[in-house]
Amino acid sequence: MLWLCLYFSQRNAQALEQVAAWAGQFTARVSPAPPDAVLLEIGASLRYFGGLEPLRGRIEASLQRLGTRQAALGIAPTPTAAWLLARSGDNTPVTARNQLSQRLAPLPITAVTTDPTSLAAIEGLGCRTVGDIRALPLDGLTRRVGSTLVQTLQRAYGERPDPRANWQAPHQHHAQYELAQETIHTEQLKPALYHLIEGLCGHLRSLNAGVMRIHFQLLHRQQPHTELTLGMLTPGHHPARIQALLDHRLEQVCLPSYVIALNIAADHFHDMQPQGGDLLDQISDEPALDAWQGLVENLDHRLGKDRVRGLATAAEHRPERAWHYQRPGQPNQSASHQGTTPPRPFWLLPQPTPLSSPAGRPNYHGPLIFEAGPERIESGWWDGGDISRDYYRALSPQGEQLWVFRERRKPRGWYLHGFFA
Amino acid sequence: MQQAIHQLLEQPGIWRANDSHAFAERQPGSHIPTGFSSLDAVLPGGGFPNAALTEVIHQHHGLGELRITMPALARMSRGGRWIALIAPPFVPYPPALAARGLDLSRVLVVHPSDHSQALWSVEQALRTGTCAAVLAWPKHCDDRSLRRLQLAAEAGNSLGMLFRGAEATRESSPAALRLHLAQTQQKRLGVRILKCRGASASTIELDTGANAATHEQKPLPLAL
Repeated sequence: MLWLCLYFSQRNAQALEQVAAWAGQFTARVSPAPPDAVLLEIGASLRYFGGLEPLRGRIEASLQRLGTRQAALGIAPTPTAAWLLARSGDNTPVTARNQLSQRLAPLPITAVTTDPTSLAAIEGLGCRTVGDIRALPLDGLTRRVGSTLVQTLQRAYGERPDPRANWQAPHQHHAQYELAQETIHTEQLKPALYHLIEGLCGHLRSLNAGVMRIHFQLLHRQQPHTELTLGMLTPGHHPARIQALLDHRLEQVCLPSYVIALNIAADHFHDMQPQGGDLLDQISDEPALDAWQGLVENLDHRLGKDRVRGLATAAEHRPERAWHYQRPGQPNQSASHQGTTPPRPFWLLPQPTPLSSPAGRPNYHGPLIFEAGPERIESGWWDGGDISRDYYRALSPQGEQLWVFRERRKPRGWYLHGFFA
Repeated sequence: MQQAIHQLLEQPGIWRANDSHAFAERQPGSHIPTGFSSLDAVLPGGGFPNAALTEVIHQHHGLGELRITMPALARMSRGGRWIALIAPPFVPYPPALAARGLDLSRVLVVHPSDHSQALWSVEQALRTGTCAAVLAWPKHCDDRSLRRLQLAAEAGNSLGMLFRGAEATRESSPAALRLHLAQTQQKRLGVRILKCRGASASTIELDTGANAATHEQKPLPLAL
């Protein structure tokens, strides 16, 4: 077992939970140690992340993206020793138990306790370091400084069991970020928003979950909040993908007033298939984020829904019903009748356009010449949308190849319905 | 100095008018066969230039402006990237597209609300590299926006195709290939090459055989 302690000089309990949620991406065993520390059991994660140094590099980089600057880090085989090292600012890892006494001995006694009476009592014994106290006989020491401190030291040295409860990440995410400086420029909000996204993504990865919808609130001093919602086609938990969407969304935002704080909320977590690492590049942290869907998401966000669509055919004889729009990227469900029908035009007019027909011959940029037809389409009597038409392929004097039809019902008018473009 | 010039000439964006074959041969896969042998024969590289803009200029609809792109599009739709149709003037009729072998699940139809959104969408689609081809029907295009699109096509390795009205023939354009479509005397489709990177011939007329093309043209095999 190897424990990593993150020690924060200023943290509240809620912020610790956020850090614990984020830390879940590195290990399954996370345990907040209120009021100011979070413990991670990293012994089981070393192999996956390729060793202690790579893992530590990742944690530090991610911490920085999280916007947590004041975290001190300690690594030791027992949780309490890791905590002691972090509190005294010693970030050199202790990896084996037999190094513990040597490494803990020089730590100042203030790392163990900040209680003034205990400190005074220890000072009175002439002790300044952990090593000094350990050299004293146990029973006398307990009498003078209390059993709590003694037990803390015993746990640090691994002489007393030190169970830690596993923290369970909730299946929703709420976090707030208070801006050090109020701003009205969206560009300056980005770092803070990225920190929030990093926190969310860490939380999601620890549960192997993804989100499809994220709400942001930009808090102003007097005006109502500015709300931002990001939607994704498939559940995601990759910061880069979410950041790209956010960037597009922010372009359209006009802030009414200065922003003082930011909220992020994601309430609905979706399970995701665990992604295997790349064969060559051991773990891909920013993997093939699906750029293919990314384009659709980007266009969606900028243009609005229902402006980006896919196409599908439908098993229908009526030309206007032989197709429909659908969500992009969906497979085409119905096989078309195309094998048996005459060729269809590439362009279909949304509505057939009436053609003038002097002397019974339809006109479009001049009189038309029929090249193929008629193809009779008579269908739809059962749903009220019945048609009865004779379709022709016709050529205009300008060389336009047209798909025209004549109503078989009175007044037997001619219509243009498409172009063989 | 000499070295600086050589470095400059190494840039993929630079082409030399007297070096058409070297240009085409240096970049395998830089051209996409149109599927019409008579057209491929006159285009340097034997097809539409990939990672570049192509303009198709035609006065009327229904001359064959989509027909000449279909074999290439059908093949590209099976390559795992999108075929984007941006601001089409009519409904791209799915039964007809499917009959030409287009994989409809790879087709993206975008209807931007205005002209500037349309140009933004085209640039975005070209630049991300997730579209094999982007076909667009912009209302008008000035030289500056065309240049942006040309750069975006290079960046995203996409085939950009702009369909424009006949007034575009009078404007200059940074597009790598400009085709003008019109009906010939024999009532067939005439394709005139207005401009082509790496080819000096500017007034070739050829006949792809409109009717033959619609009935007999099959999608090409998959291999690129």
